[in-house]
Amino acid sequence: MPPAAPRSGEAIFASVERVNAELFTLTYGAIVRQLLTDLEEVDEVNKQLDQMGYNIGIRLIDEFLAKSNVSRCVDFKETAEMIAKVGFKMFLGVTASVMNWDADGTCCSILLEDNPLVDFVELPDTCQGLYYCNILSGVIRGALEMVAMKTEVTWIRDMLRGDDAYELQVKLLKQVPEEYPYKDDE
Amino acid sequence: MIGAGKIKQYANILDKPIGKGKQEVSLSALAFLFSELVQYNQTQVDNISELETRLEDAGYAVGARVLELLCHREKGNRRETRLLGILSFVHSTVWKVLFGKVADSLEKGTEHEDEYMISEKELLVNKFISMPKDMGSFHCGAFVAGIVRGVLDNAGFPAVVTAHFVPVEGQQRPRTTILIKFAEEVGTSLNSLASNIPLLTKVWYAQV
Repeated sequence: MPPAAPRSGEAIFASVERVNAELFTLTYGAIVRQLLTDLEEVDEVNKQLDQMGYNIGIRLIDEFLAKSNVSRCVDFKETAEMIAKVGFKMFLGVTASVMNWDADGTCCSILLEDNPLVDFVELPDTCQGLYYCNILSGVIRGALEMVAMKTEVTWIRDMLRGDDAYELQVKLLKQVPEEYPYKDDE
Repeated sequence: MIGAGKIKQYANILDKPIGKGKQEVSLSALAFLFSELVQYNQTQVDNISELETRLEDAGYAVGARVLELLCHREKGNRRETRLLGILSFVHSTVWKVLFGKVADSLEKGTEHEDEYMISEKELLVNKFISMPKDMGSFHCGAFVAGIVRGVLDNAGFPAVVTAHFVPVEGQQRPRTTILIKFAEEVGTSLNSLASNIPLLTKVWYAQV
């Protein structure tokens, strides 16, 4: 039986159950507010958001692989395209694009045109170092780690800090081959 | 560069249009986010009632903002001043916008004058949550109870709102009931006016 063809992000997004983005936005805002009240240090909040995103990412990748029917990506370029075109679309309903590839194809930027996390948000002067959407970088890092890629994800541009777009830099550090839990000769 | 100039920058966030509220995200994105909220709070507390309080406080913040957003967008900046009015606002408008459907039922409590109940077969946020036995009476719907409390409190109807599981025969998962107990100053008459409401003086500069 031939494997099912990979589905486009829009097709998957149309087929999953959806909720109002504003509930999502407000819930995320409540989370960030709780973190700021508890941790008080902006760097700690950034780290905690990244960790929460990591926890989400390691489970999100299962759902992504199940729903999207993608086959194994040949190289990191394809991986980045998958994240931008299928991943962001099927979970957040937004389109993202990949650009700024470096010479060896291990580092690229993902540009988000639209970001449902930041509707109605303005950073006060006391929180200028906060990466409000840091949960997204954790999600990508966690998801890629579960498919054998160690990456580093950082924010290059953030509209809440005054830039003109949302740009994430995804850098492949190394491929970690899967370890089998049993020896071959047993 | 492709995409440059596509997102319009607004000097002041109040100038930005607030949108029609039709954008959607996948249910699983919300479920993941909510699970992280609960897991984070579990690490910060020692017992169940503190966990419920924290979830409720998170929901309270959401409710306050939902009230302002919906009052402006859906009702043209009119405030509800009657008890039944605000209850049906929560039961239909708020539920429809947040969860995509009106709540299953709105009932008046028989034992006390100032108690009302909103019931739902399965809360959206609880859809993928199963409770371990040792958590006992804890209900993740405390978040939704917080949202309701936020809406009511900021509309001038202070209340204590809690979420409970009500077992139903024939159904495996129990029904959820949000119990609303209004504070004494709200009064017991159905026509009581909310008299202590701070005037909503914030002005939206939104381009509709």
